[in-house]
Amino acid sequence: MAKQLYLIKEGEISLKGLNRGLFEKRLKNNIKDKLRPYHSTTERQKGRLFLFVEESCPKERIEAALSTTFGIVGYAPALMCEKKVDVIKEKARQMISSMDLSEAKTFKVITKREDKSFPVHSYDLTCILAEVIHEVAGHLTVNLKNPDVVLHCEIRQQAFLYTSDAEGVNGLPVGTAGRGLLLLSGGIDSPVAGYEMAKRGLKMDCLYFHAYPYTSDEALEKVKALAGQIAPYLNGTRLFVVPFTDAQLNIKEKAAEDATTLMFRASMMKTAGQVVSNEQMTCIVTGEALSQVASQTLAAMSFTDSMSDYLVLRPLVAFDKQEIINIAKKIGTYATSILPYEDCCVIFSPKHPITNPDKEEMRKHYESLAMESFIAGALKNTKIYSYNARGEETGVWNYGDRAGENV
Amino acid sequence: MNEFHYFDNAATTKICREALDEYVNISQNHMANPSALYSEGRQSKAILTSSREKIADYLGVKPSTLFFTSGASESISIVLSSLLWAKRSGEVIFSSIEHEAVSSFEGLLREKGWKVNYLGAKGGFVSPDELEARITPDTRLVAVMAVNNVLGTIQDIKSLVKVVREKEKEYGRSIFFFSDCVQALGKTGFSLSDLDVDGASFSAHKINGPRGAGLLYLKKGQIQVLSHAGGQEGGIRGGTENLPAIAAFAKAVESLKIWDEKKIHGFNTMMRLALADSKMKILSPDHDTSDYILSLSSPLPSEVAIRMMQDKGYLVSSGSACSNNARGKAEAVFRAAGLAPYAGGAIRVSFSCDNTEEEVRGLIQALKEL
Repeated sequence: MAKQLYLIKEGEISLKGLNRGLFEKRLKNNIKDKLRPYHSTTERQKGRLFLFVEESCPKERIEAALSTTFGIVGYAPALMCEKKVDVIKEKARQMISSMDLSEAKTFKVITKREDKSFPVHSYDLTCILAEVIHEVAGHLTVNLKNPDVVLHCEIRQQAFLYTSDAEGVNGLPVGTAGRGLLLLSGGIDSPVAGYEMAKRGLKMDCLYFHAYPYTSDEALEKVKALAGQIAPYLNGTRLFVVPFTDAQLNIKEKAAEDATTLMFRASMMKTAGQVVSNEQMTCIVTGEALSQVASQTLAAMSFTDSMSDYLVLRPLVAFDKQEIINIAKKIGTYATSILPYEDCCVIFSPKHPITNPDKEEMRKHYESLAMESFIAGALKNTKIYSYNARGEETGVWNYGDRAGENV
Repeated sequence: MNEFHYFDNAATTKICREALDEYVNISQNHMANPSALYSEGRQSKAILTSSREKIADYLGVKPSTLFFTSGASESISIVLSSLLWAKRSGEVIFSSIEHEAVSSFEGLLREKGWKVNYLGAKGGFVSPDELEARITPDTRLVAVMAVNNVLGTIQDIKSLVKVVREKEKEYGRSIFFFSDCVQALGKTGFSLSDLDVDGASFSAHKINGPRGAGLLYLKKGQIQVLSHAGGQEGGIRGGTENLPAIAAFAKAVESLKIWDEKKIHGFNTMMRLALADSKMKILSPDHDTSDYILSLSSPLPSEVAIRMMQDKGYLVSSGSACSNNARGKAEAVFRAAGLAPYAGGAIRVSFSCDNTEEEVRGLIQALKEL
């Protein structure tokens, strides 16, 4: 059966040493996962991954998969043929003839000879292929600096031809760096934080604190939409929805007003830590950026950090808001993030929150709130929504009793 | 949808049996365009005419002063956009408790060189004295709604119009008095002919009629519009008439005559008495206020209270949003009425004749439990 071939350029993976196989295997599996139910196979040749996908799989499906998979620097639909000059010429002719070149004016040929035993040198093969292009599309002239069309030819175990190569998202394959828990709020930052950590290979589930009726069901729907939007980058994810109303009311009732935000943060860290522990994860990821809001000052972050038993990663800590917004727009979460449903009701937001807390004093204050039973109760009623690597919701179930263990 | 008790009748109402039957009947049996020349078209035309006559009869005005529109917002838009034809821009006066259908014209009018002034509404009422002080020789239009949609306060339109008429004599030029009567129709001792306004707007879906039908009353029967399109509705509102909705609107108006006002008054009194000693504050004044609308304030942000009430099976409306930066639309009304501190927790209850005493008792209980 005919197959569609894609040439994939690996980035950082090719710099890896003895463990490179692990990274490559993960990359292959991540790509194949995303293409399911369509069948695909891969073949590796020095710095390149060749992906063969069954003919019936739509091109958009393949490109959506490749453009959201970390570990890929670039990709292009390609033709493979026997490495004989005549055969290569014929394939190049076919390829160029099938393209719409009415808008194009200039071209360039790039030949790479990975197999140095191939008798025709790169420069010569480039000239041969340039002649082919001249024959097929006489109106094109050569432009080496800024060509409209580029024909690539790579001589490896076989010869490969491709024209349009798209940029990938770089990074390392998701799942090669362990697992973590992303605190997803519904705002602009946290999905971007998830994207950034996935870029370094971290596999993540998401967690959202829902305070119905103080926050609306629309806010939950928004967070679910965001989880679905970042799921392709995360190679599928689960969203833990923790009902936090009772915990928040307890804090509001017992905590000093100006400390409520810090107490929420601390209790959220404790709750997230419980999930990290239960699920055998290693870290918590947040979208905090230094000094963005009162709870993200150095002192406040230092306090919340001290309340976590696990490593807290803040990939956006030094990002400007505009930089974060630019990434959010690029990955398609921005429009959802700015929907007007608040992730925290005003009654839980003090007018003048503490910005320079004393860690020890705050810790004692937190202990006086006796949050343990509230956290256990919240986890017991937690729901989990799962999303596949295409961003589709695939199911929902109760986190249930096992969540409350070890509290 | 789950079972619920509906107390948001100022937002919209359930279409009544008579109106719905009429809607279906006209859709099925009188599909011809009223402008068509064949007999079916003439039948449609006759239905249009008799619908207009029925409503005119109820309102005590001539049929030639009534124009069907898609709803009150469009009726208002026709009147306010007519100002753009004026050769010289002037001044308009809106009450500060107008619906956005009116107040949202501020931007356009200012852009076109008009001055937009607002009348205060202390306690929810617009004062004729203030209007008298505000009118200038440049005033071209005054807009004051008949019954406020948030507080239910009934404005003294007669006295306000009287002020305008006297000023007209003094300045020797006319001033258009417009009144949005959406919440007044069928819900106050309301007679359009007594009011002497120049223009008024109505909506069918607020009185158990269908969506998509409204009315514009013009005392002189004419106004300069942006486009008369196909010339329907005397050129005031072009476009093929929504005949099923219009006929159903007329049915809904006919049914209004048999509404039991005592029942609604009973509900209102029951609520006021029952909540007098609770943590709820009653915001709607206890005089000159429609029995159909009762605004309260709870200590919770209104958005939160609405969700809690919904979970208990009661649908009520909010006064304001649960957020510092997303200000609710009703807030301006509370500010104007001097009730700003209660805006964040405002809840609006609005009745219809479909509500029962038992439902109201349940509503009171649910509110007390908040």
